[in-house]
Amino acid sequence: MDYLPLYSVVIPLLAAGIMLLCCRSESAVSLLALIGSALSFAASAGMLPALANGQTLGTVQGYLSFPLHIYFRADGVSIFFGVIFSFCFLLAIIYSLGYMRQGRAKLRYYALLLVAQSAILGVVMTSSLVGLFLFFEVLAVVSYLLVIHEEDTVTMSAGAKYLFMTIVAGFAIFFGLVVTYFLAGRLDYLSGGYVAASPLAGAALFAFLIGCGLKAGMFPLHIWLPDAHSAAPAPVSALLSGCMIKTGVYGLIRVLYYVYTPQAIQAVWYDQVLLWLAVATIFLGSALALQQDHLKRRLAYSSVAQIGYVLLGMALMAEQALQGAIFHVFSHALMKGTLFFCAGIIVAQTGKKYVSQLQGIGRQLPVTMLSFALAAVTIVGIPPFNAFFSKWHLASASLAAGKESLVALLIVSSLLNALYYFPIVVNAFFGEETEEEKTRTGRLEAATPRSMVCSTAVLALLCVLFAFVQPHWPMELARRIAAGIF
Amino acid sequence: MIIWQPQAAFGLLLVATLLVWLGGEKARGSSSLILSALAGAFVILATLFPLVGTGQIFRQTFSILPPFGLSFHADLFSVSLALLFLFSGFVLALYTSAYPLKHDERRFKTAFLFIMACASGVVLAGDLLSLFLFFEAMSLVFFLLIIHNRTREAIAATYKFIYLTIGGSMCYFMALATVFVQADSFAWVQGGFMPATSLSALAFGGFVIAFGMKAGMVPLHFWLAAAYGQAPPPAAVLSSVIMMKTGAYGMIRIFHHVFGPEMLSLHGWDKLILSFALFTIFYGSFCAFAERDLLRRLAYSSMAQLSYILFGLALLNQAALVGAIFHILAHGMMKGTMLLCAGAIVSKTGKRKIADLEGIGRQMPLTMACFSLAALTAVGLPPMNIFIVKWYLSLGALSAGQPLLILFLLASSLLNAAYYLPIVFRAYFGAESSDLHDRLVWDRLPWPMTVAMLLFASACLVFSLGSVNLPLEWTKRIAAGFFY
Repeated sequence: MDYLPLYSVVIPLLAAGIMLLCCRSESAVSLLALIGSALSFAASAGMLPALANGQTLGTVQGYLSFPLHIYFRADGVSIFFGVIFSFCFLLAIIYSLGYMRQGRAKLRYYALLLVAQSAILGVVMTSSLVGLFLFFEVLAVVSYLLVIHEEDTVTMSAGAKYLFMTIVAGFAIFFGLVVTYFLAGRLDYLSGGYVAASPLAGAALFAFLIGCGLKAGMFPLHIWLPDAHSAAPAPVSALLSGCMIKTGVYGLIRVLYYVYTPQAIQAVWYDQVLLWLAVATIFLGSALALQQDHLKRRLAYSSVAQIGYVLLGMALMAEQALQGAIFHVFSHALMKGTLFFCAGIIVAQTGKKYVSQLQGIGRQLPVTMLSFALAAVTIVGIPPFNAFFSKWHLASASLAAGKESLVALLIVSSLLNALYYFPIVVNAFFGEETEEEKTRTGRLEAATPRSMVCSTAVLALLCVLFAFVQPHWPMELARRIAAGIF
Repeated sequence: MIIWQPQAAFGLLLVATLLVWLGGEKARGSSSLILSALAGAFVILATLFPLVGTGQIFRQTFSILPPFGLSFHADLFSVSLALLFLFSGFVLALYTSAYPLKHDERRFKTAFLFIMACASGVVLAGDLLSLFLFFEAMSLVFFLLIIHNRTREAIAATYKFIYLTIGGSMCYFMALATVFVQADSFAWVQGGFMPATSLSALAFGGFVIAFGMKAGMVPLHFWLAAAYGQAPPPAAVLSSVIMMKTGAYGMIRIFHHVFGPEMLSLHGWDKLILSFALFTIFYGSFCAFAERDLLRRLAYSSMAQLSYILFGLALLNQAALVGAIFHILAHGMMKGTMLLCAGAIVSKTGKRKIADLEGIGRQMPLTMACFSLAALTAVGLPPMNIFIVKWYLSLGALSAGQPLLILFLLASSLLNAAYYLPIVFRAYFGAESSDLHDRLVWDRLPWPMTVAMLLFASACLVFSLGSVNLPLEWTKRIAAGFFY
């Protein structure tokens, strides 16, 4: 049981190693990818009882020394994020089985996906900022390689932008790390934090804000995000949006609640700055999403806006707000995963990349577009879909904090979400098809690989499924985590 | 206690040098002779390690150079550095044994082994005068390697190098005379032995010019790019991994064992060196960024990286010195890998221009894999060596109360990323290399070259993987010895 955090990180890495060394046939490669990813998911899901009991899993064995050891130890936050991440990776690999059927360089693709899964679990399963930083950097390089998978000119330039921005983010985090270590002599996590207020601590906090904010896609550091998302293969876009930008959120949660004391944070008005940045991120993301005709870019800007919600919940520095934020990480991973999977199916089956081309596509791809509709409804925040609960908690926390204007912001932003998602759905089912498509016999969906449609549908169903199970256990877990922090 | 190891190692290398020369141009076994001499010297010095590891210091003076004698000095710092040099020299000799030098192999190899002997002599020398002797012999003989190709450009580069070296020697000589007049002694003394007088600035300036020239400090750097561009790549590796490091070593000795930190900070000389180092870091990085020739880019980058050592030294505290000394290892392995890979590419394909390297990763995957690892090391990604260096240098900057210096370090790392990573990624990916996609071939290099590259590349990473980082522990003890 105590080795599960280590296993969840090492298994995909081992699978990737075996794959690179031994596998030469395509079916072996995909099978090994599936097994590695599924085992890692099983290891992280095996930790869920510990999360429910409030245990911390892990050993005292230190690994590596560069110059500090890293320890694989998972507490509630780690397990919550780890399960979401490994589940998304598993579904992305299942989706890729179909998506990559005609693709190139499959060995490299699957090996990199496995390494990325290992790195992203490493980010959450290690018990100090050093481990977080190590796996952040591994993840940065690996996700760059995944983004440039197509290797055309547009992709390469989008990838270069992404790579250099994440490297800068890494340097900012490095600055924060060194200063923290200098001030406190330790980098592990302690609920309530241990770094007291000082000018240097303020500088380190803002360095972390730059580093983690950049990874999370916070305004004004979000500029890499739309390019990278639209350039990457669809499963990778889904992972970028569903998981990788959440690592930035995870880093900020650790820094704000486990390393720095609330006094240190309030001494530099950090929560105020974060709040304003979150507000700007929500508005700007939604406003820009509204203008995009490129479907994946629209989804990417929408991710920026949704990350704004999470940041908002953290900036309020209250238990209920944090509960909403953590739960929103879960709900956003599912719904944005669904949307990018749908976009991938549409591109793969019809070659259409633009929203304006999607008239009548719902009749060709009914399951896909129904999933899209489910996710769209979720993202707008209609009960009983997941995002409704996160918005509910965010709104009531804002009211409790005496910031009524934030509720107005949430409502306006939901409206904007509706404005840029519902027309797609309506057009897809009720729009007029072109002449050529009317004459097509048989549905496109019949030709779509089963694994793509199924994984999309599973994600879409999960957006609403938990509402019918009592208790709503992701929400319950988020509540426990937030209660553990405050 | 009398020790025999330093002089035995030095003597062994000198005898081997002589034998290589006598062996003639066509000698079959010269490479194995060089390798076994280096390995023998390594083993001899390694037996000293348990003794110096306990913190003991051994000194010995021979009356062979009247009036002052030739003295050897063995402490943990000098022995570890000598071992590092001999290891690097061994790897390099392995590489050179298979490298197509085309002509005058005997001259090249003799000079190479002689430089190795002198470089170990420099770090094992017991006082300023003995160090001068080894340092000059090493520097002057290096011109034989630069001029190896005998082209017009090579000769021009050699002149640049020789004039600067002679100039440096003059300054060193002047400083040496000043030291003798002032202090009547040359030997290392913990905390320094120079009295603070009006002449001490002259002495300090002289040493800084001599060692700074070797370490590529601006404005004494301009021999470097020319030499790297013209010399055969093994000679460039020798310079980067070993010879430039002797400059940094000399700097550390004069800071701590000749002048002493109190005197330096009293006169503000540490600030002076710090500003030179920062300027060199940026100047070197920008020149590297603008350079289009692979080996010249690596030369400029070496110069910038060597200034990390001066930077850590000039901060005058223990954490920064740990970073500085560890950088001798870290940079040696990192730049050694890159230069060996560059040499392999030049010898195999004849390509030197960076623009020509697109898609090279498809032709020489192993070479470029080593290069990529070294490039990621240079950027300072964990858990590779240079991350550790940056960590300690940053802690040192914080201890010195100058957190803004960290930003300079990070900016320099970003520049490293900007001029290395595009080479790496364009070697493997991109539309330009796509016509090569289907014909992946292995490097087809002679095995000694491959092994040498792999050894250096793995040394960038491998020490961090264990739960105890041995070189780092030694470095910490060495640095603690300077600040007890």
